[in-house]
Order: sequence, then C-alpha cells, then structure tokens
Amino acid sequence: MTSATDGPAGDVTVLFEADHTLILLSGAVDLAVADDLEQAGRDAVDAGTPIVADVRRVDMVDSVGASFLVRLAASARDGGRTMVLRGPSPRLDELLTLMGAQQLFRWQDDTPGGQT
Amino acid sequence: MLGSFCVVDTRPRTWTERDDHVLDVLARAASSEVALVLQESMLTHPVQPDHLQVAVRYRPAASEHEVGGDWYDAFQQPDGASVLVIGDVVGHDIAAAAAMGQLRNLVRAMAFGRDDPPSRVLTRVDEAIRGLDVDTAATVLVGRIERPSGPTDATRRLLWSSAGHLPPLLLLRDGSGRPLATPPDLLLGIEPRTPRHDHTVELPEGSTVLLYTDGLVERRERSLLAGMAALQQNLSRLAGRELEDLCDDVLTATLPPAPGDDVAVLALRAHPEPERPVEQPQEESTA
Repeated sequence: MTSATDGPAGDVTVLFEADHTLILLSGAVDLAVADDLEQAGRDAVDAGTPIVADVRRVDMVDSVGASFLVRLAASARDGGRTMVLRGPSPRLDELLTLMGAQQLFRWQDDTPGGQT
Repeated sequence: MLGSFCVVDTRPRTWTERDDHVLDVLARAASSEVALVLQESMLTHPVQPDHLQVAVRYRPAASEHEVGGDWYDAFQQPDGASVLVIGDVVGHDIAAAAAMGQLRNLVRAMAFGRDDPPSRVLTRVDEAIRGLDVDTAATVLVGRIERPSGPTDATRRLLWSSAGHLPPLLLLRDGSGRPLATPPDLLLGIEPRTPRHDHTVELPEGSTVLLYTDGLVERRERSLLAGMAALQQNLSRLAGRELEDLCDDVLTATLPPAPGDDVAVLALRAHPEPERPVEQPQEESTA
C-alpha cells in the first residue's frame, strides 16, 4: 500500500497513565512501523490497564495498522475490557467497518460516523 | 528468518558503509524475489466449469519491497459445483506470502468435498488458524456457484460469505451493476467464535462478478468507498467486453502507473446456456 516517501512517516508512542495505557499513533500506520506496533501492543497488554489509542493524527492506515488495533481490541475484550479509539479518523473508521471489526471498539469523539 | 546472506572476501579488508549498503540492498532483492516466486507458485490456473468463465490476474506492487499476501483461487467440487476464493493476508513481506500459502490450502481443505455453506467454511478455517497456531490475520471471501433447483436449473446463484473482505462488484450485461455490499463479518485470525453469514445473488445470463483485493481501490487521497465507486464506473464502461480483456482493461483503467500494493483479481462470467435441454417435469399434474 503506501510508503513513507509519499507522506509523513508513522510513529508509535506508548504512555503509561495512572488509569489507562495511551497509544499515540500518527502519520502512516503501516508495515513500516509493524515492529513498533507489536512492541506497543505487548507493553499495553502487560500494563493491564484499559487501552486508549489516539488516532487523531493518523493520516494513512493500511491493513497492517488496522489489524494491529483489531488484535489488541480482541485481547482487551478477552480480558473483559473495551478498547477506546480517540478520534476522529474517518479513514480508520471505514477500514475497521469493512473488516467487520467495528463492534470491538468504542469511539470517543463527536464527529458524524464516529460511534459514541 | 528464512535464510542468510554471507559475503566473504579472499583478502583482509575493511567494509565501508557503502559496502554495507550495497549488501543490504542485494539481500533485500534476493528475499523479495523468493517471496514473489513463492507467491506466484500458489496462483494456479482457475477451473473453467460449464458455462461459467473464470479469469484471474495477479499484479505485484511496483516496489519490490512490498511483496503481498493476496491470492485468488477457483476449484470444482466433486459434484461439479464451483468454489471461488479471494483473500488478502495482512502484511507485505515474505511472512505474509508464506501465510497466504497456508491459508489458501486451509480454505481448500475445509471446502473440498463438503456441502457446507461458505460461512461454515470460513468458521472452520478460523478455528484451524487458532487451533494450529497460524500467526496471521486475513480478509477472505468464499463463494459458491449454485443452481437453486438442481443441476438442470438454468438459473445460477452466487452464495458467498465474507470475512472482512471488500464486497464483490456485480456487472450486468447492460453495464448497470452494484457492489454486493453486506454487513461485514470479522476478518479471519481474530475470533473463531464470531458469527458469520451467507448471502446470495442471482446471476443473470451474461452477468459478471468481480472479486478483488484492496490494492485495486486503495489510494492515499481517497476513501475505499470512493475507490470502489470508481472501480464500478470503470467496469460499467467495459460491459460487453470479453472477460479476459475486461480484466486487463479494468486493471489498466483503475491502477496508478506504479501501484503501491499488490492486487489479485478474479472475474466470473455466467454465460448463457442455449444448449442445455429443458427437462420435462417427471410428474405432470392431471388434476
């Protein structure tokens, strides 16, 4: 799909807050950051607190990025938690919907198309 | 790791940064070549069942670092029914290409010789991914061509189930058509207990169904739905085109000059069946 040459490169940052783990995603979230995503996922699951992914600064996401979030959400649900996406990100919303994964997430934003 | 790349000089020497770079490029080229060969070895010729025509295409991404996990498949059941598959393994590397090979064969194994609807096939594949610890996620669509009232029925019907895959596009002989959009079921490799659904559409004579992977409709500057609409438009202009030509032309019209992702396409056409004898009902009503 995309490469870092035609837009901002992707970035993955994990912040451990007191009551949740925040994963900040930005730029192109694709294969180029796959290793960072995997590490972030492990850290977030190990932390054991609710996971919030801030996707407002994501400007490109492919199936690698989307399926990372889907897997994380599925494991959060297995642990009785719901993963929150801090949006909006119409692009990600569309991809997750087409992948049939929308019900695994709770969107926290106020845009049309974003769920409550 | 799937191999190693070792370079030795006959005399002592210092490796410069430039040397390292050249070797790195060489190693990458060798590994994506392996992945591409692996990929293409999985893409076999489709079946051509009676009065159905299947055409397939695979286009690798322009960048050799982006080997994909896209595949198409078409095979016949022992009873003659045709099964069509399109899938896209998450990722663009040699691991994705290898996982694609596993998934393709899992779908074949779970579908072959059984009467299960496509939704059941996908559930069984999903259970196998979990049970056999196949570390992958993928969108897959499985379809089956049926004759609703048995082998002599001239009506053909597509029965399909989609695990998070992009909807097929239907093209009728007159150029009209639509995406066969359905409420999406979850992609494979996440949750084997997820509910799955089957859908049906009747295929009139001369109609075409296009299955494709996201590389065909995905652009940085527009949404996937906009990409699908553009694809449907390109298709409608090609109504009446012979199926193999249609495949070439729709790829040319839709893909950018240097595609960033690989693309798999499977097109199916339901040809008319003029030769098929009309069978008389066994029991005439005389009441």
